[in-house]
Amino acid sequence: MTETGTPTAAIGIAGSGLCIPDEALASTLGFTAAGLETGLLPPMVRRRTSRATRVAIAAAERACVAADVARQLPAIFVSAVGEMQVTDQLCTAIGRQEYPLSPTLFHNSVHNTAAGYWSMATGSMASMQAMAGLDDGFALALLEAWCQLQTVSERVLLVVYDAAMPVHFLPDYHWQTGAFALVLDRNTGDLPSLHCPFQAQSPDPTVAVTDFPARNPAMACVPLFQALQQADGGAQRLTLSNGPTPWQVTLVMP
Amino acid sequence: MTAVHTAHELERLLPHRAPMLMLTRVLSSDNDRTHCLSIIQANNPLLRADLFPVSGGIELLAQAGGTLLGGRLQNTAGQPGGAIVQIKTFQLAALRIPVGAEIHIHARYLAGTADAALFEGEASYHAQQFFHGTLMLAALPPAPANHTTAEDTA
Repeated sequence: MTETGTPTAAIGIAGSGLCIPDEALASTLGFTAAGLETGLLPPMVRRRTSRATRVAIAAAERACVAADVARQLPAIFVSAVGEMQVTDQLCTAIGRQEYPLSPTLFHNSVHNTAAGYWSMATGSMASMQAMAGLDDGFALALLEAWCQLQTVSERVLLVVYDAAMPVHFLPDYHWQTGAFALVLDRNTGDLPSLHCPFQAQSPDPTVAVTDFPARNPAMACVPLFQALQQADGGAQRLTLSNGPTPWQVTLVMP
Repeated sequence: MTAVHTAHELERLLPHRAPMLMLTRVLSSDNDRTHCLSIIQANNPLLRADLFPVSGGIELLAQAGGTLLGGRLQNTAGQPGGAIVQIKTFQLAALRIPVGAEIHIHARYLAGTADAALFEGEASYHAQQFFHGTLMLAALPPAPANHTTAEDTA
């Protein structure tokens, strides 16, 4: 393996952005400028798209602006349930025998809807991935991004998003809509950096456990984004998921 | 540089153990490519009706690429905590591969670091190629002890 450069297990965070439409929730979490603005989407497209897709694109746009990079990056979109609201509308229409079904709804019901709209809105021909991993979604997507940066990509856009679930699907869950995006760079330079995520063999008593994943799998990003805002120098270990063998990652602030 | 590994040496490069360790030896290798031999054993867990499936080429290429990645790791960070394989592309050709078949696997490094790398390669039996593919292999870090270490805060 020649000319691979210095082996490194760390990747840089060139920019970040988020979208939490509930202003009170965003404020409680300590985030500002988290509203649902999707100027990237033409008005007609914006009307057609779901809330899940719009929050994802809003966060992705902010991350690219923060990183000051072109939007035509390889991208990974991860969501636990994707377009479940749209799927619910389709299923309801089938139940009521309201045929023909809406082609637009059908088009918007697939798991790569957000990635598709992002690639069309930005004119990006770069690779787009749509992933799902329920509570481990953020950790596994971060691992995927880390792998891409080690092998084939200089930069990767990672977008984690989930909309509220239809109430009758999961009545005991009260997911809050949110999206989080990172522009990740192969080179760490002076950037905040992340080591390769790992799965702990047991919960670490010194690492704070959060209930964020229960609020919405995408909310697993909250501890990282809060740590990025604090801008304290040094290293800290962050929880990416809960459970008996939680995923964790080490963040190093410059 | 040519390297011929025994099963014991292969076990230092790969996490696999028999019968999942399907490579018999490395016929030759350098930093960027390797040529491995696999003699299909009767206890091979992938056998179907006493034949080795051509899709098993994925596993063979992963193990061949793994010897390159494993060798690199031994020169740097030591043993990983685990590994993942992602199948990027593959093509198969129908072929009957019986127990005892000698399969030649060629793996070539395309891009990456000591932690993760992209490989392409092919597997052949009696000079007939039955598998060609591209895989990404990544070595995962071992989970650190449940306390903050000096390394964490360095």
